[in-house]
Amino acid sequence: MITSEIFTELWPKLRRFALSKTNDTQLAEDLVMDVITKILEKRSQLPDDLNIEAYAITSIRNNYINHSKKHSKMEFNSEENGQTEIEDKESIGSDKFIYSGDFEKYYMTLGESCKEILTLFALGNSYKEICQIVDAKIGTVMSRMARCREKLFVCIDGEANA
Amino acid sequence: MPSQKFTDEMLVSFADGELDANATSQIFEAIKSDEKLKQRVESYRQTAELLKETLGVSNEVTPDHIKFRIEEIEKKISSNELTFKAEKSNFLWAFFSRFKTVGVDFVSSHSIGGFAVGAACTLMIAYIAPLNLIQSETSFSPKIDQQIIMRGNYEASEFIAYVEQNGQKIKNEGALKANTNFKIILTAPIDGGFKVFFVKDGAKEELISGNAIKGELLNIPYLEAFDDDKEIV
Repeated sequence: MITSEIFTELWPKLRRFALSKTNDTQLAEDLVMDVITKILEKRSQLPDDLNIEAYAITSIRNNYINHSKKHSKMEFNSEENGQTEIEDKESIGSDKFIYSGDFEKYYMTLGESCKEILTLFALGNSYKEICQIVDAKIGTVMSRMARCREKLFVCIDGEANA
Repeated sequence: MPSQKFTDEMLVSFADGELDANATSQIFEAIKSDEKLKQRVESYRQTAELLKETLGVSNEVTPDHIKFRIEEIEKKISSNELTFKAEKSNFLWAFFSRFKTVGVDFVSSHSIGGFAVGAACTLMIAYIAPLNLIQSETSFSPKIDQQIIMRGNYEASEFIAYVEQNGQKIKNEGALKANTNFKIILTAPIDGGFKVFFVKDGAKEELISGNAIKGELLNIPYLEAFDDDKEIV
């Protein structure tokens, strides 16, 4: 049975993921609360073995895409693998980002797909769960993970050697 | 396997503990004698640690006001219950052109000739005559006499459903007001599922379904009926 206790426990993860998409605390919390409400409303229809965390994160992701489409903030580009990748024009140089320290500026240089996959990883999701959330094959996730980690490392290493 | 055969994808998966056992053991052996390979793996490990330290939430707790909000949402949903189910239909056009739930995504072109509430197959309360519509804000006028008729003795059973509108209980032979929300209230007689139907001339159509436990007060909320000419949102 899906209960409020589950979402109380998941809240920090869901909020952090939403925040990584929105860069806006209020919008992130609204997105999460909206998804929690919808899941609780239809909990009787959901399968017992549902991975509720992955399902909630996927719902937040989809809601954010819909929200962004409405507000015309995003461009949708087709990647070579056929997946839809999101480029957020506001990501780079945004002054809304709330993480502290040098990591912020490295992280903010990454594209939307990198930030998404790295955040999911940092929140403890396995590659398999990331595949489910971003609707991609394991090879794609591994490839993105390597590429994004390399970018992040180059930024950090370059700064250290500067 | 020569170190150059290990792709970046394999190395990052190894660093994250996501690689299969066979490839893991190969890389594990290879890094013992390949300093460059070891450094590449180490760079992936460093970024993993950095990401988890910075973006991870293992030390975060949910604030009390958020807990309260989530609990309130669940309470509200639990009291309202239900899964709403509706399909577009031209069924029963006689008295209302629309019948919808307020606050959920349900718009139908139903008209009410009557409706029935059944719980767990043991209880069926049928409103076998059209509901009596009291004209209020629209030009609609009932063309025939209408009233709620219930099967069973309302006074004798706590399990008989009733309609609540404007805070008033509407029982057998009561009247339903137009353009005003109303609720169907029923205490579940046994554990199981229940359904709400529109019923007319022996034909019925499922409107809402859900699950309940024995003795649970089912509050089937926010139904609204309104006439052909004026849509109330």
